[in-house]
Amino acid sequence: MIFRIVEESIRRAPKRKALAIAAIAMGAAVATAMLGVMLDIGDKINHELRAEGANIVVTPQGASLTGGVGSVTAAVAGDNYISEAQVPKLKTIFWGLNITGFSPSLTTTDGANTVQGVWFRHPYKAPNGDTQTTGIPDVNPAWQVQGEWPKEDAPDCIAGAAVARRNGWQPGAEIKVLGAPCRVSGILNTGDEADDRILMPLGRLQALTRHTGQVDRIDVAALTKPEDDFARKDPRTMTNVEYERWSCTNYVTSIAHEIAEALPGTDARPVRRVADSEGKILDRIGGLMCLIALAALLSAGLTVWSLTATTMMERRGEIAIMQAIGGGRWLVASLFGLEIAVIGLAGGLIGSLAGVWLARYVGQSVFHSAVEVSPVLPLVIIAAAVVIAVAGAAQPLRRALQMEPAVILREGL
Amino acid sequence: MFFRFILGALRYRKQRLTIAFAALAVAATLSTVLFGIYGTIEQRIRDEFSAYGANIVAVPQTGRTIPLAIAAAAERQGAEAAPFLITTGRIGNEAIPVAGFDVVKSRALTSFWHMQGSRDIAAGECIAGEVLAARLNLRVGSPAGSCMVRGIVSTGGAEDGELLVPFDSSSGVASLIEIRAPGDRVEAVRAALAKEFPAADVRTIVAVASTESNVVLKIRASLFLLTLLILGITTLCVSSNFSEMVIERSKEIGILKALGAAERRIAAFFVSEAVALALLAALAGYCVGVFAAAGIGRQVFGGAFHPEGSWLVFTGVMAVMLAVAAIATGIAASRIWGIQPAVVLRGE
Repeated sequence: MIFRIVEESIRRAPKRKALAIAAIAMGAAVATAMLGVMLDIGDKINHELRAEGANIVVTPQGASLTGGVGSVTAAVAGDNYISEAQVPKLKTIFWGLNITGFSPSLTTTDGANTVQGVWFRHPYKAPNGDTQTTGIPDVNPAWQVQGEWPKEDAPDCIAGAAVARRNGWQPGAEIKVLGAPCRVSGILNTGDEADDRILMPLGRLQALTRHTGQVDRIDVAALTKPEDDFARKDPRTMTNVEYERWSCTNYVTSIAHEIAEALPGTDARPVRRVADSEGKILDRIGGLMCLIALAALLSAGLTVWSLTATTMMERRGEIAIMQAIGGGRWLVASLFGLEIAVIGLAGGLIGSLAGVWLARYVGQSVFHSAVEVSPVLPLVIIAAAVVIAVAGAAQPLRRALQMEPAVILREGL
Repeated sequence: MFFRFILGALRYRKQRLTIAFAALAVAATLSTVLFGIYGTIEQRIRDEFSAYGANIVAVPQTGRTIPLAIAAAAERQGAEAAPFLITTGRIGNEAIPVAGFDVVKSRALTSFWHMQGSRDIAAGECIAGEVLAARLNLRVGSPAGSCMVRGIVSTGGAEDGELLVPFDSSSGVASLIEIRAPGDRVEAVRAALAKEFPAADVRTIVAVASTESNVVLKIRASLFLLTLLILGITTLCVSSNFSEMVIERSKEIGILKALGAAERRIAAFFVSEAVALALLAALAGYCVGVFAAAGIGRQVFGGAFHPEGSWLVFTGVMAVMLAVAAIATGIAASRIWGIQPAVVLRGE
């Protein structure tokens, strides 16, 4: 019976109900879009910050030690290397999926020039059996290339801007590196030490220097969580429970620790300039966006609240008639409550779907990549829409129920 | 008459107007906060990015040194500059890279150094890079060649393999100079220095500079879109309130129309009512918003809590609130034209 009355009520005034549903839907859409964007913005900024370059470097223990920059370097001798065949193992660590790129390299000198063999788009076998490619452009997406990156299997090389300027090389020039001919496929502009280097495919450099299968450094770019006080604890002093929590969090230190364990005989160290700063920035932006999202939710909630409150106030007449013909307080209250809940549900449903689309649109137009909206979010928003709608109706409903039906009816509908 | 109508309306429709007022006030608060943040966010994010250190570096075109005057020139451009001098030293019979750094000037550019021991060294003291220290068994307090190790530094970069000593400026040269220019003037500072010192290769560190401008741009764009969404939802809220008001008062409107009032005049009543409400709400919202913005700023970015009023933000909030109220009631008031006095007054 109660359902029939609600059904009738909705059928009899479809336009008015549609307006209420549309309004709630808009509130829900804004809330969904807002939360969708907010919850994902940390991830998006994290990806943006990956353009800063590698945040972990892996070197062999007891490797030769170089310091300084450009033409002024000194080295402490050592001849330990990492086996190139072992390198893809770093994708097998627990946080393997967070590693967005890596590039093993081997560095040598040719006269006054430093030559580095690297991966450009090198195929490797991922832990799931697929063949994937990665290399230095994935680790340093901000680097600017005039011309193009060398092909992995061609006798190509790419010259840093400073080396190229000193030697007067242009893209397409034929030069000799380590006694072998090579075509300069492009000029690399980075502003850091790569400007003073010639980069060529790793395999070719290994063959030219007879270091087959050996590398002396791996640059790793990983998505990490900002470090907190817990992250800075020394893993050696942790209890088992703490250690587990630490290694199950993608702190840069715990990822580095796991890489060093996956590749025995290596040291993996966070690049502090990149890792520390991105942690700070992510913290700030996350906090800011969270507060703004709260504010937006407040205004969306208030909108839905005031909408249902006004609709309820308008229907005092109906309430009075129902009471006058003998409807009990609870019956009338549950009737209207149910109706409002149905409207809230419909509005929430439409709104959250529209909101998911809106969030995608914002993501696409600002970050040029879709925002991943968790499927739980629309459900939460629908529930919130129903609760807020019913709560908004509650106060005017109670007031109407308390008033004498006769008074309301005399005042006019 | 006009004002009596409005005042009367304010008195008799308290509840509905309270809701409309609350919606407008919340919107005003939010826009104050958003405008306030929007104005300073760029500077604040750029400040955070300074943790990445230098965004310009000067190195020799040819040869091994560049004049120290570049650092002074960079400072005149409003940038921070820290010179480094790289040489080769000896500990026992191992050749090691030694880097002279300016303890004071490099502080802001090397905030990411993880230090164990002290960073402030004097002549005769030095800091060992983590890897170098492990290799040569150096500890804080132990001698390294001719100097005393005061600290161990870990950066993940070149410093890990170096012995760092105080910079000696008497020679007037450096091997490289790291420069942090204000984020929005990187290219200008670089070009000016390159022109003044053709012997030096002055480079923008692409990764640092481009990431910074990218992130600033994207945060601003998302803030902008979100502000639009919030204002949109507020307009909706206020508009629905005033629509209900028009419906509720259709009898009065009917009487007015029957008496010969023009629709435009009746609509003007509603709009001016909304505008009066919006002005009050904007004032209240602005006051709350200034404090909220300062609170958020402190919460997120740290620093002192000092609420700051700004005429620009105030005018902006006022303008936006008036626009929201006008649009919202405009939509609501369009119903007035559809009201038939005869039908309404007969009670249907």
